[in-house]
Amino acid sequence: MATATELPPVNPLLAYGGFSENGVGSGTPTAPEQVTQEILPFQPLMPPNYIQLSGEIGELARPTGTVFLGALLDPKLRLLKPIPLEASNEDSGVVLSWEEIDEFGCGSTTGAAFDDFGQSLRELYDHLHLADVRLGEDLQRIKNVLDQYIERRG
Amino acid sequence: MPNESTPNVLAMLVCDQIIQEQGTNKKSLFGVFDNITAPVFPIQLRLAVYAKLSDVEGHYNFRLRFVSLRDERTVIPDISIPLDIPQLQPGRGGAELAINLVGIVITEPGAYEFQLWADDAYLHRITLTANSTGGTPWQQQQNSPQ
Repeated sequence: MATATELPPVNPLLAYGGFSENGVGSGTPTAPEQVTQEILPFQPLMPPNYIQLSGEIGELARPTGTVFLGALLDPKLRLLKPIPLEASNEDSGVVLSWEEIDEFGCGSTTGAAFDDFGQSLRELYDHLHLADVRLGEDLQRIKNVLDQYIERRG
Repeated sequence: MPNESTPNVLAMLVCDQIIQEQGTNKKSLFGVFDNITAPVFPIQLRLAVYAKLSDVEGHYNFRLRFVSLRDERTVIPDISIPLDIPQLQPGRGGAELAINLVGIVITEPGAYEFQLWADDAYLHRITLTANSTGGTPWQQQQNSPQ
């Protein structure tokens, strides 16, 4: 839990940081005869990056039209490419639908709808890839579509 | 059109501050939290967002968005971070996002959310809850007799 200092909102927003390569930890002690003395030059993985602020405060953050699901949040599965979804705003919240396989997810917020869709998709993928499942023509087509987007990690 | 390689988010955390050691690139996260308390609102606070990603390869325009879940409107402007990784090196296929934010104003108690996007693709979110303890407003504290 964090406690916030109560101040009048006068200071401008300051944002700094960015992406960097993973940190490098220190090693454990090793017997001298096992050590190969080699000093590698420091090679940054990625070029310097910078932060840009865009958009306005108070903008509606609900997407409309085509959005993409970019992560499945399942360590066993790998998303090969983003999944295109149609987003629509309803009275009860957000609905995301993937027309190609007639799958949808919904939630009171955009994030909740993405989570619901991802959960449905993971369950569908697991079900269609059971070893003893017999698929009809339509389910086989859905499985083929899923295989274009999702693969099981080795 | 989003990048063909989609990053995988391994972890996403909010904390008070992130410090990165120069040379090793190791990050230290101080004060990890997921809820905020204050006697009254609005409040101004400092926080930091950390995300660890794998399967990152190609050019991306990452976007960090902070929204109020009451009406799903942005609380601060979107933070855009372009990133270009031409080719994964064996054993080094990850990247870490560390953003420090100073001066975020939260006007009312409620649920808030940081969303991480890569181009037009949604990746992950982390939710914060702001609670009021019902204390004395700041203006009254300033005006009260000593």
